[in-house]
Amino acid sequence: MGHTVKLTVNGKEVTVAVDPRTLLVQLIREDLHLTGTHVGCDTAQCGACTVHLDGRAVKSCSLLAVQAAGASVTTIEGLSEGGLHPMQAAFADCHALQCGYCTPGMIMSAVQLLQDNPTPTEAQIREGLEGNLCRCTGYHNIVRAIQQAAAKG
Amino acid sequence: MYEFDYQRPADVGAAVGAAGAETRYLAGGQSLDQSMKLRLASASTLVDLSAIR
Repeated sequence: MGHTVKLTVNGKEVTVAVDPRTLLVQLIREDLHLTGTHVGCDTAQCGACTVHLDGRAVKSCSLLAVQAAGASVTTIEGLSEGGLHPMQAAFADCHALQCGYCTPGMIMSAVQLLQDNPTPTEAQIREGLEGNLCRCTGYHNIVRAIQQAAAKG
Repeated sequence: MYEFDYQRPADVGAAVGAAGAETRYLAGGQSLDQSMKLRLASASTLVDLSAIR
């Protein structure tokens, strides 16, 4: 123990005492009780734990909480503070989820994807989501949702 | 993960000064963090290089 981590989460400054072994996703879920960020594989393959760290999508199960000290983190809860984010609305419109477990990570990755490339092709969307797995195999509608969000700008 | 001490030095000199037999240097962590989680790797001191400019 003995490490104090100060970081900004969804616009609010937080200070948490952590063991250095604490993962960022543990701090988010267990200390801050923001359980919208999911743990799927815990081995950086599935992307369910994706959050934005200083504006970049990262897998929060592969980052120590102490590594995020001083950074600004946005979780799925932070996207929707002013009502549903356009990407969330697009996922709902296009029925882009079945069980919903991968959805927060999919949306965080999708938001980053459109920030980098506002008019992606279908192939670019599929490539951009390669770090996120959906066990319900709902990829087609996820791609459609991102196309819809892109079309609405 | 085995226990370790974490340091994030602000300059190269301090990072070099932390060198030791059980010291591991951390860049992004995408491989090392995962290896440590699986206990395939361990360190008594983990030196995070991300604050060095």
